[in-house]
Amino acid sequence: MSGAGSEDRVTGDLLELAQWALDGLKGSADYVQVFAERTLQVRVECLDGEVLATCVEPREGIGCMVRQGDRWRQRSLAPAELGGLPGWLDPAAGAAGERPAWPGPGVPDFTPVPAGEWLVPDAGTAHSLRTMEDFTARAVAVVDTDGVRAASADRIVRRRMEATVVVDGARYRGLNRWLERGPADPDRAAAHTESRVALAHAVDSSRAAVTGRYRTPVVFGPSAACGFLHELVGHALEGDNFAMRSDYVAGLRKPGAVPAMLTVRDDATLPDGYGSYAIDDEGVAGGVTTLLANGELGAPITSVRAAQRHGYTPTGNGRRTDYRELALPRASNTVVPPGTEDPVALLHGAGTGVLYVGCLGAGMINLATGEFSFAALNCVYITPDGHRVPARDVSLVGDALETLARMEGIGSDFGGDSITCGKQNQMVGIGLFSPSIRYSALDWSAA
Amino acid sequence: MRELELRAEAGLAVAAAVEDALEPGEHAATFLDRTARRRLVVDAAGRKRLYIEDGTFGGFVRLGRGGRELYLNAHELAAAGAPALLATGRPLFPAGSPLPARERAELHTPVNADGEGWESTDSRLDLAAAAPETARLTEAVATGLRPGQTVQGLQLADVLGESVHSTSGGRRRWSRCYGVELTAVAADERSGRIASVTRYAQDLAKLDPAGLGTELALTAAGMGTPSGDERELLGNEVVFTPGAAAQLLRAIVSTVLLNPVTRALPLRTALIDDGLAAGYGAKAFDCEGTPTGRTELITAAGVQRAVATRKAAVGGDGAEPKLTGHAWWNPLKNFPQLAANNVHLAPTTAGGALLAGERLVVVDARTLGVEEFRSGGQLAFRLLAVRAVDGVPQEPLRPMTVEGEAIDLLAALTEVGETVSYFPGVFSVGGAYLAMNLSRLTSRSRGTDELS
Repeated sequence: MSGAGSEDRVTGDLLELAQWALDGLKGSADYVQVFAERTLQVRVECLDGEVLATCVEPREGIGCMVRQGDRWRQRSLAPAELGGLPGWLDPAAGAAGERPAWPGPGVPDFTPVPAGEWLVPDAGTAHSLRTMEDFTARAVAVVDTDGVRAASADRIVRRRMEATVVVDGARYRGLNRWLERGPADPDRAAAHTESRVALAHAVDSSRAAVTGRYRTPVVFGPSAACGFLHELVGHALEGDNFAMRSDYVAGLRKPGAVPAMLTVRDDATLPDGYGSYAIDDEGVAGGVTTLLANGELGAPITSVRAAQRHGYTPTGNGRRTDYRELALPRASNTVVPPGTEDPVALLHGAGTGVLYVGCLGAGMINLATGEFSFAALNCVYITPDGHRVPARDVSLVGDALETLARMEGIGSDFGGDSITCGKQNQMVGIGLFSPSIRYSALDWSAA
Repeated sequence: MRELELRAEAGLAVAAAVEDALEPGEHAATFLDRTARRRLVVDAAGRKRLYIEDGTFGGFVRLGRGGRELYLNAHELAAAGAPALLATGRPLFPAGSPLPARERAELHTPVNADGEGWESTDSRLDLAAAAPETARLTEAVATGLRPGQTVQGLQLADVLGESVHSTSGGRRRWSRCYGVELTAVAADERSGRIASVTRYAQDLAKLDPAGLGTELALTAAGMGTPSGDERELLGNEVVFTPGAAAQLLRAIVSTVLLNPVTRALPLRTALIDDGLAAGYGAKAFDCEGTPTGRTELITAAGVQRAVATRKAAVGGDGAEPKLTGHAWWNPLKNFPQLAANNVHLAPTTAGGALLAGERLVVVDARTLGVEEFRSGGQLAFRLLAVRAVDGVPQEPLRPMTVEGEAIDLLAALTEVGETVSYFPGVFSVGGAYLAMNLSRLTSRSRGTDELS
C-alpha cells in the first residue's frame, strides 16, 4: 500500500494464494478461475471545513468461479475462511499443499486534504459545502485453468464536492468531481478551486428560470455526450445484454440505425480514465474495442463467462465490485473521438433555442424497448436571441433509436469525467470522454 | 423442509469478538444485519422448486479512541475477522472525525431491555403444508385477470431479517423481522408483456391473492404499448395501484429527507413512519442502536417533523432534535444516513372503492433521476397507465410525465385507501390505492410546448 515495492510484494502474495486455490479445485471442474483481492478504501467526508466522518473499508478475499459441464458455480471466501475451500467441490479432497499466508496489513499511501482547504475563499454567496475524498488501493491477482496468470495494483483518489445554497428556504445543490490515478501529484490544484465550480453550479441552479416541457435541439457538452451514448449504446453492447436479442438491440443492428458520423470505443488503456486497467478482473489485458463505427455496430464487450456462453471474442471487460461478486461484461472508459464542428456553432438555435446539457445525472434505458429517461444537471437554455438561462433538474425522455437518428453534429472539443455505474447491484468506476454532440430535437422538461 | 435459521446469537458473538479485540483506550459500537429468504417457485405447469438464500452478517464497527472515531465498513464479518478489521482501521485514527460534543437524547422508549431481543411476529410459515396450497393461490390470483391474461408463475417465500447492536460497556440487543411474500407473474396476450406483483404480510392468511390478481391484471395491461389510435392520459383524476403508489411514496420520502418541506400545504392524509409496523423494515432499533417507533414525518397540516441521527437531522422547527431511530447503514456511504423504516399514508377511505366506475389507473410511477443527483427538491415521474372500468383493464394509455415538489404531490392526493402491502427497498413502503388530482400539481405536462 505504500510504494511500488510493497505493491509488488502484495500482488506476488495474491498470485501464490490464487494458484494454491486453483491447484486445489482444478481436478474437480472443467474450468476454474480464481480471483484474489486486497483492496483498502479510505473515504473522508467533510462538512463546512470539519471532518464529518471517515470510513475505512477493507475488501480482502478470494472469489472462485468454476464450470462443471454446462453448470457454472461461484464461491467467495474471506481470508479467515480459506480453510474451507479445498472441500468445496469435492468433500474428500485435501488441500493442495501448504496454504500461503495472506499478505499483512499495509499503511495506506494517502494523506487527505485538510478539511479547511476545501473552503472557497471570498465565495461571495452563503453556502454549505460537503466534500468526499475517496482513496482506493486495489491489488488483484487472477489465475485460471486456461493459463491466465496475471496481477496488478492501482491507486486512485476521487474527490466529489457538493455545494448547497438556500433561497427562500429551498435548497439548491451543485456538484463537481475530480480524479487522480497513480502516485499523488505534488503540484495538484488547491481543493477549493474544485469546490468553487460546485458552488457556481449551485448558484446557477438557484437562479433557474426555465420550467415546463419542451422539444428543442439539445447539445450535450464534453463527457455528458459520452454519458448519454454509454447508456443508449454502451449497455446494449455488453455481451450479456447483447445476447438477449431484444427488439431494441435488433433495431440497433439494422442498416442506418446508428449515425455514420459517430465512433464509440471502449478503451481501458487511457492513462487518466476512471475505468482504466492493465488487466480486467479476469486477468485479461485491457485493450480497445470499437463498439460503433461507420454506421455499424462492432463487437460486444465480454467477460469470460459471456464469451464462453455466447461464442464471443474475449475483450477484457470482465469487471466486478469485489471478490464476492462474479465478473460481468462492463465498460472501462467509453470514448467518442472528436469531430470537426465548432462547439460554439453547435449551440446556435434555429428559432427554438437550444438546451445545453453540462452533466448527465442518473437515469436508465429499457434495453427491451429503447425507451430512456435521464436526469441532467448543469443545464443552460440558450434562447434564440442568445441569452443563457439556467435550467434546473432537466428530465430527458424519449426513444433511443429515434434519438440516435437525430444526431446532427459532433464538436471538435473534448473532455472527460468519472462516474460510477451500476449493474446487477455492482457499482464500478467508468471514464467518459467525448466532444460536444448535438441532436436536432429531444423532449425535455425542467423543474 | 429446510427452515430459515435464527442467528441473532451468532451476530452478538461477532459483536463480542469486536469488544474482545479492542485495545486499551478504545471503544466500539457494532451493528450487523442479515437477510435470509426461502422461496418456493411454481412454474406455469405446476412444477415446484425451493431456493434458500442464507445471508451472512455484515455492517459496521464505529471505533473510537482519543476523541476521534472511524467507521469500519464490514460487508461480511465473522468473529475470526474482527481483529484484522480493527487493525486495518487503527493507523487511520489521525484522519478520523472528532466525537460529537454531546450525544442527542432518544425520542422513543426501547421495546426490549438490554440483552434481550424483539420479534415483529412469532408466526412462521409452514412451507411444507403451504406447498399443496399453491394451486389454490394460483386460481385465486387468476380470478382477477382478464381474458387473454394467464398466470405464468407463482412464488411463495418467507423473509427473515435479523440485526444486532452492541456498544462497549453498554447495550447489547437483537431484533428480528419476519414476513411472507406472495408474488405472481402474468402474461398479457394483447400487450405481449409480462408483469409481476407482490404482496407481503406477517403470515399467509393475511395475504389477498384475488386483490393481487386485480393489480396484476391492471399492471400487465398498462405496461403494453398503446395502439395506433393511442389515447393520452386525459382527465384530472387518476388512481394509483398499490405498487405504483409505493414508487411514488418512496421517491417523496427520499426527497424530503434531503430537501425538507419549506411551505406547508393542508393534506387529506399524513405521511407516517413506524419502525414497529408489519413491514419489511420492522426493527426495534436502527443501525445506531436508537429505538424506533411511530413518527408522523409529514402531518396532515403539511408540516415536516424532525428526524435525526447522530450526524444528521432534517425537518422540525429548529429546536435541537432527538434521535428518532432513522439511521440506515449504506455500505457505499461513510456514516449512517437518514432513512425511514416502514412508511405509509394514513387512509381516508376503503381502497376498493377507488376502482369503481371508469378510471385512469397508474400502474407504474418511475421517478426520473436519483435524488442525490438532482440539484433541487423537484420530483419528476414517468407514469404508465391504463383505462379501467370497475377495476377491469381496457387499454393502455400514452405515458405522461408529471412534476412537482413533494408537498405538491402529497397535496394532490384526494383519497388514500388502506395499505394492502409493504414493498421492499432501502426502507419499506406501504402501498395503497390512491386517488390524485393532477390539476393540483404546480407543473403538469402532457403535450410538448414550443419554447421561444
